[in-house]
Amino acid sequence: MMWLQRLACLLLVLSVGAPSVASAQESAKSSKMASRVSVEVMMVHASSGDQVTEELKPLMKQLTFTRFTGFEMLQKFPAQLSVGGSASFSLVGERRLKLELLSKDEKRAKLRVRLFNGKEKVLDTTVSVNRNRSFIIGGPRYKGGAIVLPLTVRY
Amino acid sequence: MSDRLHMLLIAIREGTAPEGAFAEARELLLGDVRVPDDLKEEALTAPSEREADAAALLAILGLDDDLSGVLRGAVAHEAGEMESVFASAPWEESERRVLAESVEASSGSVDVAEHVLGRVDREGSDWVYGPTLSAAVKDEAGQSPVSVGQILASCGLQEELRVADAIRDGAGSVDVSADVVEALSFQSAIPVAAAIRSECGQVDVLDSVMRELSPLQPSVVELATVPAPANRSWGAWVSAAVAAAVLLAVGPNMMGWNAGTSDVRVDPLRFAMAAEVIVEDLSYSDTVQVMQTEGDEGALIIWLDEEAVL
Repeated sequence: MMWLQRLACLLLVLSVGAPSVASAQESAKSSKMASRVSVEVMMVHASSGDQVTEELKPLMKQLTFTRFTGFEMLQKFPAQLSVGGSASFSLVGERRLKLELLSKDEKRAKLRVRLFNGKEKVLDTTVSVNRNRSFIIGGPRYKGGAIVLPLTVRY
Repeated sequence: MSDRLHMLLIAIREGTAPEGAFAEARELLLGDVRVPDDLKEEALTAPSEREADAAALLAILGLDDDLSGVLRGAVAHEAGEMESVFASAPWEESERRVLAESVEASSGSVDVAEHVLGRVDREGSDWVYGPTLSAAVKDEAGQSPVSVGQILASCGLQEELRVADAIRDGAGSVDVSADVVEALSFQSAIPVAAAIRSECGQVDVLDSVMRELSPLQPSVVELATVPAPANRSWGAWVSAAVAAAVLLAVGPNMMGWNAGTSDVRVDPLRFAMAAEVIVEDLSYSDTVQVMQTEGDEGALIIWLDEEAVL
């Protein structure tokens, strides 16, 4: 067990001069990210199957009205948006999702969400949501089920 | 012709006529217009031929005894319909035999002769209509045997009519299943479960059952017995604890382990409740129906229904 004692001593020595470096890096990143909002879109295939991705268990409790029982994570779309910035994601088929951060404050962010099917804009909505919260857009048909898009705004 | 001439001729033919009867018969004969003149002169004149002459005259005059058919017709005409009553039945045994044979011949494989005859004996002890009916049948049928099959065929009915078929036709359809089941229930249980299993074949319900049971299953399986520690190296554990404390104090950023990764910590989904989200604007195309709803735990859901329009 000598190696374990030596490792502990090494870590103790390193920790003496580390805090100043770490705090400097943290503050620099914080200043960069302060004006940005992290938006994450999950593309989920809701079906009548029995496969449920562990991360999506909360979805089952919300979507019981659709009678879907299977929720499979197809893809995640992370994005960092500044106010006025937008991001676009290709979903299944010709479906496409476009997000635009309209505004933000300490409590909530205002997000415009547009859903396209080919060139047709099937949905255009503006949602004001509290920070670190999620909401759901769903319904487009896909492989006998539907596509569900949980959107999460974090900052 | 007078009855007297008739009686005299019969007596002469039989040889029982008195001596004076010949002259009287001849006198009556001469006065009968039906007898030809040449016969009038010679009939009953020769003593050796008187009996033959009497028989010939009876035949010529239509008074012959061998006229059974005419007599039977006359009798039947006078008697009317079945009005004859016989006090005795000398031919009873022969008629019984004829009837029995006829019934046996007509009944095929069904032996009803004894029953029929027994019934006839009881109901017709004096044998009132039997002989008359039998005689009438015999007169009509002659010597040809008549069977039930022939009678049915002559009536246009099926020749091979059997009692069992007739009973089945008369009975129609009788549902006895309820009685059968009731009877069986007292004797042995009906293997319904086995029958259902046999019809179903192999049905895999494991997934459905496990899905139903999944909320009930604990996520962590507790061991029944905890294995004993392999050693008790307290020094090593103290050193490891110090190292862990140092790591917590310094943080992962100092070690550069977070470099290049997102600064945002991945949290589980936390859905906004009603007061935490506002839909400020909503529009959609004509090809979909959109509803704004809440999930079972209050999350905002904007749901597109494409089938409603299609």
